[in-house]
Amino acid sequence: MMVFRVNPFIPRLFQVSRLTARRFQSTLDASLVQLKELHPSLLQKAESYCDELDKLKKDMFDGNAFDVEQQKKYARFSTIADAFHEYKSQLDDYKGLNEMIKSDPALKDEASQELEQLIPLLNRSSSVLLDKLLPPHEFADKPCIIELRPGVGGIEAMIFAQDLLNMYIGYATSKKWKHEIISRNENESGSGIVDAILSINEPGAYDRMRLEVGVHRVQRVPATETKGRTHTSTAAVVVLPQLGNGSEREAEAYERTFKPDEIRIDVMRARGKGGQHVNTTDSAVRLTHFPSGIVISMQDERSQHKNKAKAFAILKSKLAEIERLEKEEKERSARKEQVSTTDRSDKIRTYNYPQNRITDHRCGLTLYALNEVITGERLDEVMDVVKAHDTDERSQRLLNEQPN
Amino acid sequence: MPRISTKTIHEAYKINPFLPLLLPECRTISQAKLELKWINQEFAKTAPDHYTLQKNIKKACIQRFHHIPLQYILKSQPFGSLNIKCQPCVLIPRWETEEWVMDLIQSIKNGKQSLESKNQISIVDLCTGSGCIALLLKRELSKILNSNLNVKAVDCSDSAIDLVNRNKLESSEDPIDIEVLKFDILQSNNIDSILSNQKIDILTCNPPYIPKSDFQRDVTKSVKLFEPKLALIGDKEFYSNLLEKWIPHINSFVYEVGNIDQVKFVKDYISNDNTLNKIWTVGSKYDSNKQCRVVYGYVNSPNSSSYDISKIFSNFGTVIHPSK
Repeated sequence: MMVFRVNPFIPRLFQVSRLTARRFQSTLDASLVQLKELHPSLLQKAESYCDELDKLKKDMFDGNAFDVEQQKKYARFSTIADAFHEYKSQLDDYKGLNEMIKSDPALKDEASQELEQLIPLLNRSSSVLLDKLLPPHEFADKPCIIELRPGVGGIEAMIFAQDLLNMYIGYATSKKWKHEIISRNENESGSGIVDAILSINEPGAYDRMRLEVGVHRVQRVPATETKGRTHTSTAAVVVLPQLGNGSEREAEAYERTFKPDEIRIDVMRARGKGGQHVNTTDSAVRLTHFPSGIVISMQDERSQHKNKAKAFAILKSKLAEIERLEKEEKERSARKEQVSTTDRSDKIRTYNYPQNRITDHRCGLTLYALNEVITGERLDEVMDVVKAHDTDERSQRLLNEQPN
Repeated sequence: MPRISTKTIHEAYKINPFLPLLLPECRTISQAKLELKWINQEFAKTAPDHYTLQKNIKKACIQRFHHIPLQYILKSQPFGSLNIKCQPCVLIPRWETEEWVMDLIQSIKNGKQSLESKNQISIVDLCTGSGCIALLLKRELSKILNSNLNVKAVDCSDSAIDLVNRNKLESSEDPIDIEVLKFDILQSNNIDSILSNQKIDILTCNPPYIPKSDFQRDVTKSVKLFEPKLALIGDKEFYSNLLEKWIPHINSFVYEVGNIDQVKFVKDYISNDNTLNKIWTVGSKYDSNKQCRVVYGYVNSPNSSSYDISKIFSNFGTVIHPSK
């Protein structure tokens, strides 16, 4: 036999005295301040996307054929619509609860409790919606190449560049992303690197890593220091999109897109008669691209052929990135705005060992967990905040573009 | 060659105790480090544990110190998209050869329409050694050409024949189908078994081309001590063999050379012969080390047939004797 059980305590909750209710007022106001509401023009935009989605759906019902472009649009709009509906329903809940508090003071206690739970959810869904509303990055779905170079600080900077390389390898490993070191030149003394190129072969890795671009700064007592003074050194990180799959066949096809006077390929050996007379194992290749002045040296593989393919893959990424930056620069100057976006020359993050502190200068985040971040374990936390900051900035730009 | 300074040896020792052993062959620390990395990578694939791995690496470094070629120690050499197996008594493929073979493949790709009108293309590689030229041509060209491709590899040495047969199966993921023939082209007059009643479209060869008088002076120690003299010492005999025996049966040839004299020899022979100089065009090609590396020639097609071998050599090198 089923027993229908009624919680006997529920009615009591409605009997909160006026006095207690008034005491909750202040907490409620504090949480109200925390709410991040989206700009009305953004919501308007979301609504227009929903309308377009409806139109597309109608088209589909009418039996019109979809081409690839439309399918892409449909996929994008429907994710926006989902996020928008979730946001709207939560916002309605929020408004309803506020109404309830105003109209029925007896319910204030419980309603405010519910509000407290609702606000973080609402904030999250609003940021999801915001992220979806922004136009996606050109190379967002691409794998990436990370290039590391020591900056000022001599051997200590080389050791720091090595630490950063280990951090990104650790990060990729923790994410179970396939990665490999394409090239790595060690310092003559064996500690630290002169340069290194790490490729992460995960679609979408570029979107995650692209905000790592810039100068990273370290403050610590180097292993090479004898008097115990703290030094400041830097290392530069460049993140490039990986285009194509880097196979030798593709590199050959790519090579043929250049005019003969645009590129030069040097093999670095010029002694003796060559051929059967010598048996060299030196397979280094140097690729020069004259229009851009890019020079790429590659020597890691035993096969000259593979070295050449790798060099061309990197050249391709570099040229694509240059093109993208030029385009961005043009758009920015067209808008005539001075936005403090990430510039390659800016120092973006400080790793302070004595204080076990990591500070990101773009979003002002400070975390006292350097040891966990530098292994790559908690790098995600830093990246999340930077990403949110970037999304905010981009949405700000989007709003400036379309003043209502 | 300059002596390696004590300072360099000390520096190398500080990085890795095995590194000084590699210095005599590598000359610089950075190259020695690369070689050590390659040795490490190669042995790590097969070593059962760390102890054996270290023991093998040490052994390899000592062998290298005694000038044994790295390719004989690691038992392979990358050649284009292939990984050619290497063993003593057979010449190790050189990067210069790889370069011109890749260029030849590219040239054939560009002029493939003129070849495809023939449904059976025949390529013969003489003095094939490890088989690298024949195997790479077969593998790459069968992806490009629609015609039937028949590749033959010829050598006079038993160990070379053994190695080609191994490389047919092991140099890439799938076995490569070429015909392997043991044949001494200098001794025997009967070359019909290679021809099989058909004109050869492309004849390639990397003959021994180091004159005996230059051997002591010009050849590096590692090559002198460990690579087969059969594959190294020779002067003009293979080029005159080409001009006397093969030229009536072929449409084009690509021969590797060691010096400009050998190119001149081929060019002069053809331009002084009243019948040959009318139909043959001869050219030469330099490698990226600015050394004269290849002599090639082709017949101009007599009539306006769709088959035209000259198309595939249009960008291959520089013509030194145009046909009259």
